[in-house]
Amino acid sequence: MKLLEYQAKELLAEYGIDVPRGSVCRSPEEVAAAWDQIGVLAGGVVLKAQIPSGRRGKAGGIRVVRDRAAAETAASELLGTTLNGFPVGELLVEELVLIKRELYLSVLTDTSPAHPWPLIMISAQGGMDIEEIAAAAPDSLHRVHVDPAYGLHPFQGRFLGRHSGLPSDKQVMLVAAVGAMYRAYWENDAELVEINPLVITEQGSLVAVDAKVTIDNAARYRHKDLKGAEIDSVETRAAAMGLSYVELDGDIGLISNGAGLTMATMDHLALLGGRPANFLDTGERILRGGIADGLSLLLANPQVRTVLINVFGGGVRCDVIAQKIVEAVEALPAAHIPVVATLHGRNDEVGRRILAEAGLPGLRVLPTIDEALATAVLLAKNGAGGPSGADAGRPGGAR
Amino acid sequence: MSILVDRDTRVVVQGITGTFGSYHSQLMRDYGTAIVAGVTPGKGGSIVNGIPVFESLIEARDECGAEVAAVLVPGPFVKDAVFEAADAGLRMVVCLVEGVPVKDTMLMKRRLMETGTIMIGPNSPGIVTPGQTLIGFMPGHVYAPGPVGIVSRSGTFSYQVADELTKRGVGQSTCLGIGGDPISGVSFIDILGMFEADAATEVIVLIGEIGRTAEEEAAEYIREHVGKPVVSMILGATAPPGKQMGHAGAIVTAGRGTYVSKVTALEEAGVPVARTAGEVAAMAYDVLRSRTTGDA
Repeated sequence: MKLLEYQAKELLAEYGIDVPRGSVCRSPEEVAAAWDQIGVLAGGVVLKAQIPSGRRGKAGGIRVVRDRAAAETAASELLGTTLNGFPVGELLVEELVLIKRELYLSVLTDTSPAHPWPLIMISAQGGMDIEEIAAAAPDSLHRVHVDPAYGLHPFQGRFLGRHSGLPSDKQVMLVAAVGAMYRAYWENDAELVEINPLVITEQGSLVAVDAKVTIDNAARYRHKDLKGAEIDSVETRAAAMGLSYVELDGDIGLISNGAGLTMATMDHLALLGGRPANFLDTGERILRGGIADGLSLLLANPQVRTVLINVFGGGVRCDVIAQKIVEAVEALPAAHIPVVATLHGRNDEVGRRILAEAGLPGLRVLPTIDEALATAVLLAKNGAGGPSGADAGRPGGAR
Repeated sequence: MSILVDRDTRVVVQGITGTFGSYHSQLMRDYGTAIVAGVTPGKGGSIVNGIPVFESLIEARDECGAEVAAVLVPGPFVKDAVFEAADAGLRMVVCLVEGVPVKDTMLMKRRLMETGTIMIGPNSPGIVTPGQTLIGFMPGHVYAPGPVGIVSRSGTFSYQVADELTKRGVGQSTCLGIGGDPISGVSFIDILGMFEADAATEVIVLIGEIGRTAEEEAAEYIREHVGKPVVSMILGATAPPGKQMGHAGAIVTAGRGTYVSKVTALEEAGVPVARTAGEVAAMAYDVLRSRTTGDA
């Protein structure tokens, strides 16, 4: 789960990290009111579109304004638009910070087998992306792995302080910020906490001017109070059904079980000249509504011209899966797009027989994966009419 | 021979009284796995599928000689189960559960460094030595004893590869899934080393996927340390960057762990990369045939 910038900053502020004074606004009127509270004193504000995406500046989602009218105008220009694919419904209006120096500071979960530990990184060259820093100023980047059994040691904080490029009187503040950031990461099951830039202001304070926080989805059950970006997409609606779904731009709707098998089926379709419309892994929902919910998702996509179901029964039995497929296809409207199915694994012969004997005109059952995929590719190319619907009964079929 | 498990491996199922635990312990037992005990706190003294249930892992170890734990408790309880297994000094834990917080896995892995307990998973489909023992969700009937070792990040797709091999008359020494989470216990490298040392394994099939760099590291290891032939496949050729493909670990971000970088690394290490399950099985078959007929 990604937190929006203001949510990330609220979290960091709870841990004692300074952030600019700001206000979340949903209308030009609210922005004008925020100007009166913040802008008048600071002599300017920054309007920042709150979307769960990087590179907002390049997309025009960050505006600096120096009077009330300009703030209102910028607000009405930004609110209601779409940036990097996300609708802009909220603006963070922040006091303008006078920047003396910019640092990069982050902590993330290093997943390399050698060091699957939290990794803290610092660079005196803030303001750029970490990739840009790594390319343009690799020597400025310093790393510390934290042993999860013991947590962050003070000497590690001091090491990062020494490599911050800050004068020693400012290093004390930085070490405190590193400790606070690490605690925010650890206590909230974050995958990433990134403060970039972390700024020394003209007044000499240390302020997090931008922040990114991502929380491990598997751990969200123990952070129910934590709010993240609410994204309304077919992916999140699928996730609410317990399905792992990613929309692609092809025309063959795909339902499979297991992430690996689903990816393999996508790749195989592409080899045969087909274009998958989606990744859809039913996971353990396969017997609990996964097939029916999956079909309804795919049929709502106007690009989909045929649906391919490729299932391998490991923990689950193919005869039970076949029953679920029959029920789901029977429930579809009469003239639905063709569904091609193939089943392998536990009890697969029984499963294929159940599918074939259901006698559903819109359901074709193929005995091998190669034949099933080839049929789906052909049906997608020829449109919904396709070749005759007699595939289920052809020689070598499942009967 | 085989790696890690055989017919004598004495298994305890943690979470055996749950729906999942009782269903899969029955299937494993039907396969021939020596399930000697179960553990569910609060249910000690009961019997599930004829298997005695204990309050704690230490009792299961002492009463029944359990040495390997199959973890089938819900995600939030996995860390406790694995720490208990480490404390009881078990040789190995097979962590079959999906949805374990990464922080918990990090701590589990850190703890197991101290006790030397081997962990497979989390989010692993399990491990099978065909004809002998199966600890996990694999459909037993697609496997047959033979010379091919399979190590995979994915579950269902590896079943399909085993199925394709068995249909070609080629059996397997041991097959296991290392799990689809961002951090896992045993790595490709650990398993490659074991297959290299295993007399029963003649060919190794490595099935990777996009995301992270485990396959690149495996390629480097193969180049230096593996003399046996390795054939491979990488899943996710058509996956767009920045999108997580089901597994928490299967995501290409910031140019790391792309399909192309993995395929290039493997091919440079002399490992051919197949594009379908049938193709990877055919590669393993061809390697074996050329070795037995001597026309390599």
